[in-house]
Amino acid sequence: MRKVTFDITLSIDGCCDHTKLSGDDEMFEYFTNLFRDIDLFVFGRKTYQLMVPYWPDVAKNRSGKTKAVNEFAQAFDAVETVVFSQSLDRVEGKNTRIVRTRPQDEILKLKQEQGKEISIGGLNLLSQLIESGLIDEYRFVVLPIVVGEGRRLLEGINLQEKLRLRLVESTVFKSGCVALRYSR
Amino acid sequence: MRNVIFAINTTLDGCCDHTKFYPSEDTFEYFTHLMRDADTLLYGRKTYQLMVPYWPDVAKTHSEETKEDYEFAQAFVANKIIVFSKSLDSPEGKNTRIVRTSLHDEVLKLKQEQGKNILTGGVTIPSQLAELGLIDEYRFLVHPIVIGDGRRLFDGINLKEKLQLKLVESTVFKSGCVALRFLKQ
Repeated sequence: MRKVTFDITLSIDGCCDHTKLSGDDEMFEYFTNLFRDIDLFVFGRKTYQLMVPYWPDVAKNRSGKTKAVNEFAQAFDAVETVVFSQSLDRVEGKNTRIVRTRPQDEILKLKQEQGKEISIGGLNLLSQLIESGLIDEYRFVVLPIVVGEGRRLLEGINLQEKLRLRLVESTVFKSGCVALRYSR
Repeated sequence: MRNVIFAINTTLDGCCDHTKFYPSEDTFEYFTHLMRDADTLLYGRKTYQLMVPYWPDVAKTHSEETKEDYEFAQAFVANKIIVFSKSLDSPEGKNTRIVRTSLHDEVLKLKQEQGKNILTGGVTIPSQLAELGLIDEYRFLVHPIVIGDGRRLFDGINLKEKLQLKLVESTVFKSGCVALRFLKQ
């Protein structure tokens, strides 16, 4: 079975709205390294549209501010993508397909296929999948900032049961970001 | 000037509601040290009522508790407590004062007094103190659990601009809890 991960950057107060957060080179390098083990991204529509065409454009034009940003963009662009959406008609990106069935069913199917890791991004998908038991690993990069607004991780979710995780790794970046990796 | 430290147990999804999860035993010692390095606790009514009479009772009776609980309780009761509340009539414990006036003025005055650290906890009062720029140090103990319920860290905070902090320490506990220590910039 392939490993399914949930990867996200967030603030100390759990704000995941990436229009309010910004990363540093070390953070981009961290994700670039993770992407090497990933061959499929799974996004909801909002996250997809936040990432595409932004990152493929950076990859194509090498328009990132630093080498680390450009490498991140290229690593991102090399991975296939599945987008869960009822409303999206067509996708801009190459190697991308739209799926309209239930995320649980599709992820379970994908998990059984051959391949590298599957990385899930986006808050709606997390909310839909967190209780499914399909996510093997959670990777949070916590930025040293309190935003005080924006959408938070698992906002408005009522879990039937608490989810207890196991801390596998914690890494501190020079900028004060902390990368926390948890397994189920 | 004395430092105001905000220290709190929280979960991966930012739940700070201590009725929803119980912090692992190995984090008690961390809080005991914080309590010993302080002499004043600043709480709102809810946090105060969560802590008192519970901890003073543990300090007094000490029967079924673990050593860690008892030591924390001892360190807790050695502090003065200031409760910011409009509705509370009289405090339960000794060494406790209810304040109804401006949080800003009261905390500024406290900071200028001689003494050890001032420790705060909870959601509402620390959020207000952070808005006022009065917190010098933050200690978040992130427990490896997702609750999906309860009040969250900095719930209702109203910041004029993002609060950029400086990470100075991270400590990993056996239980998988991670203590992150930040300073105001």
